Amino acid sequence: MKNEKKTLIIVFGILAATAVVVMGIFVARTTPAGAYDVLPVAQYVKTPRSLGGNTYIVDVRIDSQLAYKGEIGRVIAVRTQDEKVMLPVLVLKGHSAAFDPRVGQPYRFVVEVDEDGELILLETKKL
Amino acid sequence: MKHVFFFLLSAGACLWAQETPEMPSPANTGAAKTPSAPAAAAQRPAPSAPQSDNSALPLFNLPPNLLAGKGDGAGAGGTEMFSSLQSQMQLLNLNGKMLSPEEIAMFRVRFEKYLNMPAADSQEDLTYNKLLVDINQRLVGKGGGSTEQRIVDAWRMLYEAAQYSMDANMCESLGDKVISYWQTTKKINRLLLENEMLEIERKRKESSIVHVKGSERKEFLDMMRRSNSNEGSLQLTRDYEVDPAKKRLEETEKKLDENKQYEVTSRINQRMDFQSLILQFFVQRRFYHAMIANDFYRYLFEADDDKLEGVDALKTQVFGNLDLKLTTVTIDALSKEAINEATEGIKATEYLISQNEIHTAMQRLMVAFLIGEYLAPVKTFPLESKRKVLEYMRDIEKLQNAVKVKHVERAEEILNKIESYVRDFDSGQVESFIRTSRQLSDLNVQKALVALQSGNQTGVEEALAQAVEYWPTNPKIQQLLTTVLGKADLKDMATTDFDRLMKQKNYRAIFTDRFRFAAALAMDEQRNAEFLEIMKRMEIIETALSQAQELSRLANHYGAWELLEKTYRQYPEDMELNRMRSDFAVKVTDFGQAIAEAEQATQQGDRWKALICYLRAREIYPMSTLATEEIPQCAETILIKKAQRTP
Repeated sequence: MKNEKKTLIIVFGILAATAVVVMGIFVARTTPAGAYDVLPVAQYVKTPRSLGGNTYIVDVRIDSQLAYKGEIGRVIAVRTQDEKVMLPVLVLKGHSAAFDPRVGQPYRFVVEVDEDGELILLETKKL
Repeated sequence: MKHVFFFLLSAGACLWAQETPEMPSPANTGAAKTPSAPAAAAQRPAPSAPQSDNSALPLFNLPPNLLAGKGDGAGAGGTEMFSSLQSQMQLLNLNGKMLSPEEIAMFRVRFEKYLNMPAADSQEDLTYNKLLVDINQRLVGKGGGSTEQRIVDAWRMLYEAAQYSMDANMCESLGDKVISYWQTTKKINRLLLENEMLEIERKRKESSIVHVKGSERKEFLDMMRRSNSNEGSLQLTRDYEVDPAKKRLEETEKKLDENKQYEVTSRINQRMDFQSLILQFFVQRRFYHAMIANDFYRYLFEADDDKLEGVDALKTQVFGNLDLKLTTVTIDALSKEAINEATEGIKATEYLISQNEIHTAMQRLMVAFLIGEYLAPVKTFPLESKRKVLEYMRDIEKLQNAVKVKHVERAEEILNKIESYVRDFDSGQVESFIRTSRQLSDLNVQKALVALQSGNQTGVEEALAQAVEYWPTNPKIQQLLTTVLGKADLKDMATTDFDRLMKQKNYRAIFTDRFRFAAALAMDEQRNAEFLEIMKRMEIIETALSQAQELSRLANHYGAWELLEKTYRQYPEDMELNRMRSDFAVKVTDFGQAIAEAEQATQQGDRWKALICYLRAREIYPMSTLATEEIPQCAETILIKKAQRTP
């Protein structure tokens, strides 16, 4: 009996651990911070095009809107949370519908560096 | 006689002209041969009286137009003043003749030479002078004796006088003439004796012929008687005996005629030779020689008042057409008058010099010298006194030269000097000339200044020309010219500098010297426009520099640099701006680097990076106008480009 209990405890333990791992993986897959690397701001500022094709997350605070064209989108300026560096971010029209930033709001952006080194906003998450 | 005497002066002048080969003859002959001139001269007053005819014979002859301001007598009274000087110097215009400048110059040379020569008062000179007087007095009877004895004594003394160099062998010439007379007389006497012999011979020949002819006639009569009874007989003649006698008689008569002819012509020739010598001495102003020769003539030719014959040409040349019976007595009187005049002239000169009346003394001495250059009183005149006259002559010449060139200061200086030692110099008109010249010149300088200020170039030139005309050495003219020329030089120099700096694009240098360029280029339309454009440019730069300094003073180095940078982009050639910009760049390296990177990215077409850099720059200096201006443009450009690439 004791062996059955031990076996049962072990099985449940394994299942629990597996469940935790699976949950961890799931959570990691569904959460931006967990899915992308953090944007190397210093490197990016120095050579934006060198990071072309990559997608990063970056925590920012909305600073200002630099330009806006209805059919294209807008360019906003954000200040990174950690290094306090001002970065431009291109918010294309398709994304803008669900993005209504205000000056000073903190966000976590998932951004892609395109071939011109431009930061294209992919996802946003209010922090 | 007095009028006749004064022809001596012109005679002397004419003689100088004759003695000078290179001297032009027209003036001389024109004067001497003009019939009216001597006639007019004969009616003139005494020569020592001042002449009022200023146009006549200037001793220091100068063209009057040199003195006239514009040839119309507007030379500050220069013509009148100079005429006055001429009248003061007038000396030779004693018989109305105009001597040429060359003749006057010749006279001046001789007179100055005389003034510089020591007095001829050596023992030799005195002995010679006394000897001439002694010869003259011996001939007129001093020392007694027969006429022949006195003539011989005087004749011997002639050769004694000829030993002296100052005699120039004139006494020897006279002595030779006397010898010639004696020799001719001796020959004539011999011919007279020969004539007597010939006369006897002629009578003898005539008697012989008469005798032969008588015999022949008798024979003829006898033959005629015989022929009455015997017709057809031959007629016989004795011509063969008469013909030689006839021939001898003809020869004798011819010889007699020849001798008589010789006697007559010799006497006439001797007279004429002697008369010519007398007149020659007289014309040469060797008056003692003339008197001595005259005395010899009267004794040798037993003539008390012989008219001088065969000297018409010389007489006309010397005395013109004056109705003058030229006799030995006339010559004698004229010679004595000349000697007396020269002696008195010298005495007057001495007195005048002692009274410091040098001007009149000079005139008297000139007259005395012209009359009696070879007379003892003139030759023994003291050198010291002559030097005073010479100094005055030279000062007058300097004064006239100064007046000629209108050197007013020089004329005034010389005039003061003359007045310091000459009491009788009439300086009134010279002073008036100086004063008037100065006033008129100054007036025209003022006119030129007014014209200059009004930019009337023609007026300046005309007024300056007038000012120079009246007083060429006017210091105010020089000052004005210096100013005008200085301006002209500055203008030229400024124009050259401006062009050079423009080429170098050194606008800062133009701005630094802007006042000089502004004045110099004011009338240069093209350059002035360029200059004004540069001033505008520099005004902007200077304002930026000033503002940058002020911002720097407030520790706003970013603002200062950015201001300079923006100005630099507009005017990159300004060195001062570049220097200050560089200075501030050190202080704002990060900001400057961000801007520089942004611009570089912009130039490369990388607008995104430019935007990043501008944002970085604004982070550094939030007040940055460069970033503020560029950021929206970059962002908008990025959107536009994005739209172009999006299908």
